Amino acid sequence: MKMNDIIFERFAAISTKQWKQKIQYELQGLDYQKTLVKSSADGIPQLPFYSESELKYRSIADFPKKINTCIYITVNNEATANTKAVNAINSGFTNICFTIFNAELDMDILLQNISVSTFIIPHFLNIDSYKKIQANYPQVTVLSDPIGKITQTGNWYRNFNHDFEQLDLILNHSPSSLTINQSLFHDAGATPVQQLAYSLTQLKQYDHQISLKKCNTITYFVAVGTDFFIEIAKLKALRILTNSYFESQNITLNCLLFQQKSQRTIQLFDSDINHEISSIECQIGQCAGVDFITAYPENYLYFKEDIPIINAQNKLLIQNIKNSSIPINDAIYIEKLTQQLIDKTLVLFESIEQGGGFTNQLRKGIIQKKIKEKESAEQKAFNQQFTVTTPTTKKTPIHYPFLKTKGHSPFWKPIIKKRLTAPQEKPIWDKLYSNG
Amino acid sequence: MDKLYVNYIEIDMSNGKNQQAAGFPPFTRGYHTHNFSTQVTTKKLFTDSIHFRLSDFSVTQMTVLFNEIVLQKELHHKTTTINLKIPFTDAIDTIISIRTLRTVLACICDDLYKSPNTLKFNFIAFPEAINTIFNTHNLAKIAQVDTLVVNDRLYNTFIKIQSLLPKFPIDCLSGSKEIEEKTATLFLKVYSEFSSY
Repeated sequence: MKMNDIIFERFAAISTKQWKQKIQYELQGLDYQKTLVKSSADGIPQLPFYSESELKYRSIADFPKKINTCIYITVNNEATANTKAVNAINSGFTNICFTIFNAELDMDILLQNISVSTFIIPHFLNIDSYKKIQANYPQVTVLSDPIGKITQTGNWYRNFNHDFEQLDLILNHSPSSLTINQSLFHDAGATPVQQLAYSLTQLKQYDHQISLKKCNTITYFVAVGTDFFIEIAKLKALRILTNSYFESQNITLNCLLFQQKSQRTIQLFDSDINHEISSIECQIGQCAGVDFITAYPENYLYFKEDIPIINAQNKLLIQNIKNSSIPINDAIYIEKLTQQLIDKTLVLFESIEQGGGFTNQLRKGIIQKKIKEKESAEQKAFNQQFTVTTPTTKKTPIHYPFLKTKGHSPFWKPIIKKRLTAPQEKPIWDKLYSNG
Repeated sequence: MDKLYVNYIEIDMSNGKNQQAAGFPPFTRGYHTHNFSTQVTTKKLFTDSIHFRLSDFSVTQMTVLFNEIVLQKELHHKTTTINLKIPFTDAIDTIISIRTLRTVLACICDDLYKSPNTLKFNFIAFPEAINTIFNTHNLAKIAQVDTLVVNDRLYNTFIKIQSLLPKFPIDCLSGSKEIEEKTATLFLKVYSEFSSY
């Protein structure tokens, strides 16, 4: 047989019309739209096939060449936290992120033998301690997000004016400090368009209050769900929208994506599923080109017996990052979804701006109400397609895994993270653990 | 501030040849009646006959495979589906190798039977060194593997997470420049080697 006639043009490209004809034929009378087109939570249709004719133009996005792995460590004791950090670096993590609650910590002990780029998230806003850390430890970036603070807790550090004044001073010494927490919206059940628009309006509000010109980097904390393509498109859209905003203001800043483990998809009783979901989140982060992927945080651990599983999972994260990712970011399907997300985000962005901006709408409870609507719809759909099974063995709880409603009344209504399986897990937990 | 807008660029159409090489071979892969996304069947056991095995994705092994298929022309003509065991390795290697295999197999079919889709190839992967099924299943779908055979533990996990799996379009990688260029390069190497036989 002669194969010399194998050339690229051997088979003519299949036109959109031909695909549709073939599909209609095989559907045997079933409705194309109802049978094959899935609509996302934002009303974006996900079609059974895409062709180049779907796109008139392409977006421009830069992605990092290397993805880093970061581990979160909550600091209750400087020496213990330092030991954990050094062990994590020795096991392959490239970055450390400490959460601290006390401005009086001994930083020499905490940062001993740590030369890798390190982040600190303080639960306070104090210019003196920021200045001290930045002056003495060049490898450290102290992160700050006052809007994120009131969004998540319902309270400012002190008040609106104080917090922005402090932030303004902090950025003079630490131009990489500014962060925006998109993952909170994801974990609260907001749709991708809501997550993007709320993040973008926060960016604009920060620019309005403190001027982004004094920053050199903006860091987004992001989290993803399991809808592979939409989530990749969401992160791509975030980079494009942020850079478009920078261009509109004639500023040039780095935009870093810091991918956190999503709390929304964590299951209480099934560590196998958690393991699977963490892996897919990591794959999404790799494909979307985030800058950092973080390990499974300690405070998402609910049972002592799960500690070794999480440790094994963290090792796997480091391994997986070394593997090649799927170069899907510029595929027609992702590009189309990205452009659709951008279009819808810009509409919502304009609407929030006309409504007085992010914190104004948060104060009025509008953001919370809009998220609640989408969260309820997602919860309803999830309950219909997924059933939590009662565990066969009783484990040792580390802490109470459900939302506690009692406590201080916040200044504004906060946005609360909600796990999708929690409503089904609560009665099982009560039965297994409430009586000791 | 003026209204925020995003700058886009014109589409570069110069990649057409690569796209043709990397594109989904026309109608060579039987797809499911009610779902036009590529489907992966995940199983614990595969009991049907394996007609051909590809030990690795090297150009040499692919060429050997194509020659075996050509030599056994009479045998396949009576078979509706040919089961081909493939390796399952690095993501990019797996994707571009399977695209190349499907394209060359369509060409062989066209030469042998005057139709590119006379033979249906069932690409079967038995991934071993894997820890999670969600990622593996996603990669298998993206790479257009037909059947994935996994151990009991991963299969049971797969059953639990089935409802969380995303919906895929027919070829989600279409338009990926890196995939198109790498597939075109591999295709040319394989074609060159095979036609020299």
